[in-house]
Amino acid sequence: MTEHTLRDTLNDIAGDITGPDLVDRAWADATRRRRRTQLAAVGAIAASVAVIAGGAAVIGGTPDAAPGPSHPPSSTRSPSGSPSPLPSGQSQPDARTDEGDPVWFSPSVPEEPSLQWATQSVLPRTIDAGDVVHVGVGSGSAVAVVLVGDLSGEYGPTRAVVVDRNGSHTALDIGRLEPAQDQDGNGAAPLPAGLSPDGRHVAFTQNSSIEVYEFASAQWQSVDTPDWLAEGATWLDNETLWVPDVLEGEVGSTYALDGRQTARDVPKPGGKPEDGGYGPTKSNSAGWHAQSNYQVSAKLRPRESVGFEALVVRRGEQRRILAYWPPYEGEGRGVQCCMAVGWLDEETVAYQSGDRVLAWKLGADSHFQVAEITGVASGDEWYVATWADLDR
Amino acid sequence: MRDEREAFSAWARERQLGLLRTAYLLTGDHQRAEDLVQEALTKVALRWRRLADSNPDGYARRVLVNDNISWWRRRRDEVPLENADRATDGPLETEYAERRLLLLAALARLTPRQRAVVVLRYYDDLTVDATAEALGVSAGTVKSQTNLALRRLREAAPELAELLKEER
Repeated sequence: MTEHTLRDTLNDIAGDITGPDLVDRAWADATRRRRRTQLAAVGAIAASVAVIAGGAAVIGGTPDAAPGPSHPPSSTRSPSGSPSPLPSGQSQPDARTDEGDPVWFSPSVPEEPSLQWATQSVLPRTIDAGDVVHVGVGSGSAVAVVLVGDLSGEYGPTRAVVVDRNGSHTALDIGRLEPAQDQDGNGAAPLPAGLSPDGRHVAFTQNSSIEVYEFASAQWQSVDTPDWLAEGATWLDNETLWVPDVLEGEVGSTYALDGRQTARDVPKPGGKPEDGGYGPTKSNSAGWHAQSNYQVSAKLRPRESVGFEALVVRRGEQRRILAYWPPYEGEGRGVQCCMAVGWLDEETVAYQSGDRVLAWKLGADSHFQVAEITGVASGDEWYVATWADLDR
Repeated sequence: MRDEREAFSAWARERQLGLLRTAYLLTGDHQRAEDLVQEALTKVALRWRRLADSNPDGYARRVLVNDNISWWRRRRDEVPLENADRATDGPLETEYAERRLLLLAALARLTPRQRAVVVLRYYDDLTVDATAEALGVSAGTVKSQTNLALRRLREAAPELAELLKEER
């Protein structure tokens, strides 16, 4: 077969193909994915999801083994071994953003299990989100809550596992929660606001309210909100919820936990988000703010920038970037893969990568394991995780 | 945001049919081709701010190829090699129709990457370098995979060579 005939025949085959207009749905799907991950403080998705299956709203997940660039040299990544203190010292950045901000590369997913463990974490190394027999109030506060089930489907969540500072796991009775939807009728995980910074309350969103559970008293409180807006709720402080006037808006109202509206026209906590920022913004006492971002560009080669998912850490005009390796040109990680989790100390920030929580020491090629989430039935269940301030 | 959406929509409306046809040649399955294009357009929309001034076509094409390879990896034990759409309900009307079916069947016997090489080079008319970029492999790999794919096509559909001989 000549190449000319091959071209003709391929054109002949393809010439008959027509299809529906997919453009509006693509934009809507992209907007929904972005909004869910921006607002929901979603942790990770337990199972890899076939992204071609009916336009499923994939907001994370285990990446397929698509080809990607090889990993850059790593200087201080440590093999597994006994716990050791975080090393001090900085390292030269691996790259720069187009704006000149320093960029360090994260470990690749295959490297993660061999990282040494961080020693200053309040999280247990294993967070078992499986069925927890013991139901109780734990120690009155939590460091993590993992919500498991058919989160975006008709059945909603099936269980919530509460982890306290002692590493104890207890089950929270979530029978009062209804499956939540967004305004378009799409299923939505009912955990956007999540744990309060001090871990004493956890807030679950419903279509027209926020249900708040207090661990110490084991009591629920209901905060009525305008329809569909609870999805955008976040904590203003340990006793106050902020709800936007419109989804993705930057101004809203505040509510006390007894349901009273306490103020209007309040700017969104954390200020205006950066372009491309998603998931929660986690701040520490040193004034650093960390949030993941899906559109960071870094110069890997002269005159050539490559796009990354990244953790952007800023303080005033200073920015430190942890680019999640590999770059997304290689489709090595899912879109909006890796949420900020919190701070282990003033210079070590934690983030979620798939089922693992990892940590990065700012300005250094020092990376650590913090925790691993287990107990979720891959392929059948999804989960979201929410985290209290870890450096309290 | 409105400007972004308008710009994306203008680009996507211009490109979606071409992407669908490429996807069909990659898969041989119309519905799966639509799914691939839907996902590719969504991923482009997610990253439109960054892609608008660079190469959204290349990115979309890369998503098509990678997602199709990923799909194939997950399903390769389930899908018979001859799983191309085949309009076999009636008698073949022309030798052209027969050639199309033969080629589709032969394409289905290639690996997804070999098939992608053939489609990108001989349907999308990409250069070796552009094909390499879309596949995330070296130019040398594209050349070798092209030779291998063409040889496999000939082996899989010797009738095509006969047809071609008769045309000359």
